[in-house]
Amino acid sequence: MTVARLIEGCKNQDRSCQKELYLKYVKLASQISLRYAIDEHEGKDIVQNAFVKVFTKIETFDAEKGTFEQWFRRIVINEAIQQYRKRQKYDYPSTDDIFDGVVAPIALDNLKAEDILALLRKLSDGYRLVFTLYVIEKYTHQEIAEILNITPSTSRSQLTRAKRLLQQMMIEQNTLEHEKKIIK
Amino acid sequence: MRRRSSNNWEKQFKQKLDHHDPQWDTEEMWGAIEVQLPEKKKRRLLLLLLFLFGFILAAGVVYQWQTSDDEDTKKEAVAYVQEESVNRDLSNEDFTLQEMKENTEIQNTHSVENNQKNEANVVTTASIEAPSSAIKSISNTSLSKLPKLALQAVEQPIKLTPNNISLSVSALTPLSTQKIDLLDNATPEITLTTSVIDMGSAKISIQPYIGVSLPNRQLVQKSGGSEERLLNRQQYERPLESIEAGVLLNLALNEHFAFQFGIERQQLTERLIWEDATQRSFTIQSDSAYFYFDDQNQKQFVSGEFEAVETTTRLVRNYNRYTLYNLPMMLSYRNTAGKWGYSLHLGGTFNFHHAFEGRILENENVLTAQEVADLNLYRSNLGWASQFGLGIDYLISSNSQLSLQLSHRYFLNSFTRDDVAYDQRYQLLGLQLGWRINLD
Repeated sequence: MTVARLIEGCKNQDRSCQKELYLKYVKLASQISLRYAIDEHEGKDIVQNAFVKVFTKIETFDAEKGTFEQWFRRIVINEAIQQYRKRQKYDYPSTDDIFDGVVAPIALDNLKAEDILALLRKLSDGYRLVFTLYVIEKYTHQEIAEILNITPSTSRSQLTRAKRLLQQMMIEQNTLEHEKKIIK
Repeated sequence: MRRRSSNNWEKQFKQKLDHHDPQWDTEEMWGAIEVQLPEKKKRRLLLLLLFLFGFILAAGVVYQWQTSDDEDTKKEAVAYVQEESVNRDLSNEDFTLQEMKENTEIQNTHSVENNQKNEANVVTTASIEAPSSAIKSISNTSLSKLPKLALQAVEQPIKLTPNNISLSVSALTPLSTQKIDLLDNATPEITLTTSVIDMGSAKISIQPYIGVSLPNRQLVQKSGGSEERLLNRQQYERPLESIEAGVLLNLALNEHFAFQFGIERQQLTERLIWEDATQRSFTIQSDSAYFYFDDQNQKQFVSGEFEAVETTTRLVRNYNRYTLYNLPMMLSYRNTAGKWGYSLHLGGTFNFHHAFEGRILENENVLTAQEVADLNLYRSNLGWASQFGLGIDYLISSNSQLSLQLSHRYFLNSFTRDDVAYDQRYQLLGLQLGWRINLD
């Protein structure tokens, strides 16, 4: 069944269409949610809440304004941001805590997606949010600023620091693994 | 240069995450989502009303049919009644197979006028002539003599000796009308159960199912009842069989619990194969039918008339058949693990049934007036049964599941009348296969 027909079925509250749409997009929703969530449990909460919102608000979807996937992604991201707001953890660390040196971008070849997600979760909520919105979702700093109610320059600085922290953690992890290999 | 490498790093970062596939239990998550989704209330109410309407209509039709069928069947049964009746009415006696064996050879003394002797005691050994198929079925141990005697009667004339005349009579007799003390007085007063199946995350689902059950009969002697009668009854214990088909409506109360109700038709059949011996007294007009060979091997005819007793033993298939209409009502608990689900069901069944009791002989169903009058068959009875079930199910599509359930049913009411010396109850161990369809 095509997405358009599934959407029509969902608008009529057809449970089978809702489930089929869910199965079609649950992987995407899971991928998105994990980038924002502090753990898997919160990721699942984000996915569930997002789908409830999708099915209850699906009548507002207008195919002429964009694809369903775009609309869907936006809902999942919004739900993830909502989750942050609930926790009220916009804890942007002070610059003193951050390694301020210049770190050359390192290759990610040796890292799995799970490793990257683990590193991402080590970032504070604010850094992770800005980094994910900018790097993964390709939002502009202006958009991020509007979403998070911060200034665009704050968004830029948070992004820079988040990237540095991530790269620093990756270097440390690579070093640690290298030492383990030598010991073996 | 720095900016380009940074962009590459970001791109690589994004690609890594885009190819990530979290292995989450999507069914479990769907269950959590589904309970938060609004229902189509109007449709649900309509379906519920339609089902209830159909339910009540079906129950009314069935009840009406049973009531009218009662009279019709009695008339039909009377039409089958054989004109001839047995001299001995064994219907009110307790007798066993042993007694029947003994009755297969009856000896009577008659006065016979003989050309050569004035009087002689004639021993008449009666035998049967049973249809070949029946003879083949007769147990060697129980009736080994009778088929031989019957064949002798057919193949050669009877030899009479002056002082001890042995006469084999071969004749067909009508089916015995004696009532057999098997399921006899056990006019079913109650009924059986249903089965079940299952439920799931859907708010409303409908589930047609079929099943088979292995019934087990329990006989409990009442205070003051005859132990001998109970033992006789137990002697005739035979395997029972039951098949059922029905449809259940599942209403989810929350994620795990649901209320189920539905309608089911069940047929319970109890089969018994046994030997039926009957006696008949009659007067023999001596004529050319009765003769013997004298010393010169000359045929000598017997003159006069005498009384003879004929015993007929035939193979009888006695059976009880209960057609039950059950209204199951159950509370169910269900949990899932991936596409699989397991469930627990507990509840009861309101039953009413149409009972039929009779015999099959040579594929012909014969009822007698005695049975109709004494057993008071064809009554509509109501009763209750408890039910317990354990089920598993498997998701075969987004809105349907296959389910298999092991069920146990116990009939709280006795199948016998109050004046019978023992209670007869059934418990059934069954297996039901169902297909559940979500209606949401």
